[in-house]
Amino acid sequence: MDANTQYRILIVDDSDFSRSNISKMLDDPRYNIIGEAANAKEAINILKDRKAHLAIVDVVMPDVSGIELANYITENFSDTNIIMISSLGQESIVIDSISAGASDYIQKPFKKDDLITSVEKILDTIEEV
Amino acid sequence: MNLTTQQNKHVNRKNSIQEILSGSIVEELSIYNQAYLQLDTPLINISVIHEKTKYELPLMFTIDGDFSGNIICLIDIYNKNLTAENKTLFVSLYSESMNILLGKMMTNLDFESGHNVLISNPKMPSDEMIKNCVAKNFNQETLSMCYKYISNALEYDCRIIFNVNKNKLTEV
Repeated sequence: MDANTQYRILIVDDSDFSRSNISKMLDDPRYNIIGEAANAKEAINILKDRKAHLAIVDVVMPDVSGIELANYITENFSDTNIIMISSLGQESIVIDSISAGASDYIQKPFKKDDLITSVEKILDTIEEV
Repeated sequence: MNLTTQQNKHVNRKNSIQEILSGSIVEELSIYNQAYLQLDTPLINISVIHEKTKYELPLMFTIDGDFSGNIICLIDIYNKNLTAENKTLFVSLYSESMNILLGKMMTNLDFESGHNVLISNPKMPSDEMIKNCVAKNFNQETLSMCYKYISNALEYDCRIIFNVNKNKLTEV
């Protein structure tokens, strides 16, 4: 992918503040936030309409957890990479997230640099393909 | 077993829950430079819970795992003159702040004592739900701590109440 490629990113978090905060952190011409979803159902509807290179998914959400959503994305939208985010940092959750197909796991609160580093690392692997 | 031994066992267990949770407390925390939390009163066992005032905004998390029960957060917005729009933003940041604070605490709990406890997403409970949650019974232990919550140059008192079911407590 060339330097002008805009990467399509979906943000999934039940917290309005968190979605808005992540969106501001990714305010860069390289990134196109294709949608913000407050739950798994909204996220899946957006992904059915628009392909995403990357989904940033909160672990703890109502009804369907972020880990269950990650499993669904991995099975049904295999071109979409996943970064899991959560206030929880227990090893068991990180392992479950990676097993569900996530490429990275970031514990809240995180710095903008940490998020960008993680996003770029994953988007680099797309460029290499 | 005589009564004195039973009482001692109960007291020891109470101390143990308090000690386990106290070891995981986060004393200071910045939430994306938009809110700041500072521990004001340490975690203590309480027998009487002061009723929620009309100025306190409630949040409730359920906890499950090696401990089960719920956590109620009450932030006092008395005299803060929040407009409807500001209040929406305030509640959103406050909810995420409590989610991050308690998430870090549960993460520390795992590292420090090996107890694995997960928290739910935050919910806004009714006054009736709060009353039911804090209904004391012999199988439940109640602990409380307070934080100063600073946001937008204003300082708020925030109390956090843990209702832990003792029957699911596992020794690690």
